[in-house]
Amino acid sequence: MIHVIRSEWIKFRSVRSTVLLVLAAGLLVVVVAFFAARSENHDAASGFCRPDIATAPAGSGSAIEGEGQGPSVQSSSGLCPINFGDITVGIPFALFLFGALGVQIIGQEYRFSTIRPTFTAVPRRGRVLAAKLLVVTAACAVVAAVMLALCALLGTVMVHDFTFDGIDQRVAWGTVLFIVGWTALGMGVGSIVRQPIAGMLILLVEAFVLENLLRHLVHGSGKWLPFVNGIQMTFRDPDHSGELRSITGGGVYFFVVAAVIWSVGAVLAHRRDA
Amino acid sequence: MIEARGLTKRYGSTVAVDDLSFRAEGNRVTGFLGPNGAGKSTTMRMVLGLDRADAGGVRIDQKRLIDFAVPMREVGALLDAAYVHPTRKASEHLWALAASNGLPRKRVDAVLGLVGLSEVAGKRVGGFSLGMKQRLGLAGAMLGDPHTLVFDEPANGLDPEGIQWMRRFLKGLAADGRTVFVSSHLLSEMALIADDLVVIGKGRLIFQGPVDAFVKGAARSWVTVRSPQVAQIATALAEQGATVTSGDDASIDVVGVDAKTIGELAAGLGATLHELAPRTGSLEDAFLEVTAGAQEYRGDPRAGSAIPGTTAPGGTPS
Repeated sequence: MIHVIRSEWIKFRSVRSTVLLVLAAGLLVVVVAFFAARSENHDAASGFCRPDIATAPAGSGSAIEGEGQGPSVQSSSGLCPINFGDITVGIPFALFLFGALGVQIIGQEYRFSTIRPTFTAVPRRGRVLAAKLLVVTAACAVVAAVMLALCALLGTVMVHDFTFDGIDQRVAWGTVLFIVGWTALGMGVGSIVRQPIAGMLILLVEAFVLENLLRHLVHGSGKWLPFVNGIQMTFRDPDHSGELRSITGGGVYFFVVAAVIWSVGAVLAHRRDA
Repeated sequence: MIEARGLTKRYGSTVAVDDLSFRAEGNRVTGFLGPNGAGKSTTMRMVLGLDRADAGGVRIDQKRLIDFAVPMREVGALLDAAYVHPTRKASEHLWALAASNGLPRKRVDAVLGLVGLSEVAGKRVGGFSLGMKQRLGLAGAMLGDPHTLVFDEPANGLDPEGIQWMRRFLKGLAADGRTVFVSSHLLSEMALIADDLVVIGKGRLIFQGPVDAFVKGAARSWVTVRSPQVAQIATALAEQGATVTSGDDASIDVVGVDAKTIGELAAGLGATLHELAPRTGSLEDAFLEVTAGAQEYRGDPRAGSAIPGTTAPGGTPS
């Protein structure tokens, strides 16, 4: 198995688009954090304490609303403290890129038919898929961790009253976990549809369109929507409307759905002609 | 040795491969022939476990491919030179394949040298010509130095020197004791490299055996006779029941009597012979003969003349 993992790592790093995609996802969050930190710092310095957030009901609105929001409390310095979650607002956008990477890691094998020499060299297809999953999720987890560390560093350096409290730690871990799960789910979709573009569109529409529509149109559907439940792990102040599961429950449900979709993709990859 | 038994593959109501059984032995090049749509590529993919057979199975040296601990040491394959990622470098493409089976990095350099691509090892494959990709595919097949090799149209895109190299390469592999199973549309090439043939049509086995037996069994044989007394010889042969057709003024083609009999008959007549040549049809002739009813697709026999509905220069619509 270790040989197959090594092979998949060579494949991963030797294709420009793959490397660029994962770096772009990480960089996007860091660049957005830079501008957010600059903006938050300016607001805080001018005594503007984000009353919109202080009074807004948390967890309302679209699937990605509320990301990074949390109760603001005036610090002893008289300035509004800026949390880690306040500057990592680029995460929902980067998620699409991480998911796309998951689709691409398997989809491009089918697109260029390199899956045939791959499965000829390693006829036990489950090993190939497991190795791909391990490589792509590990790479995304590392990039996500570095990305979040850089965001924290930017906050520390640029923002006067930056805080990284226990909730932020949970947000950081939750973000890494969610990215890992979302990438795995993307790979599952890629294994099922075997078309990179179609797979990416399915992820995009499911997360950012379909789940929002269902949540607002079908009463009680919120608890069964994997993306909107899972992404609560990345929020400082999760949904309190009761429409969604708890942070832990939503995270577990999201991972169960991701595991099921990945497994369906693996079974189909095993059964279908390569 | 490759042994296929009862291989069957259906796509909906279409039967692409129908109860196909054959063997490709070690120490020999086995050519795999069939018209377009006969099921050759599907069969090759089933041999490699890429397509799932609806019935039957394949054993390579008595085992399924999935049972080998290091598959690349047992089987190497080139199905299509285009099965490469265009932005990946040649050496990385091979290194990824080699690593999957725990093969050492030095094998990559060795096979690149074997196929003459050492100088472009660091180049991205997207910039390769078809011939270069073909060589890269061959390098991939040879990474594990396998006992069994499966090639689908390996001469595609190669220049004449490349084709000649390929011929020597395949024959050399077989001479080393390996099983070489190769399909090609270049029948003249196949005649030069193959020891045995597996011929299929519409997914079914038409012939399996040595090339010579296939050609002798399927192609026409005749004797060309050239003599100043050709009319006298023709009359005598016709009286013996031979079928005689006229060639040019001084020659005839004779079917049904061998060269030795004709020579003795000419001597008896006191005739002078300028040529007495036994002839046999080519592999192509034999192939066309046996697959005449098994072609899935046929071109317009008038191809090469004016296309119907078009107007020849200065003429009327055909």
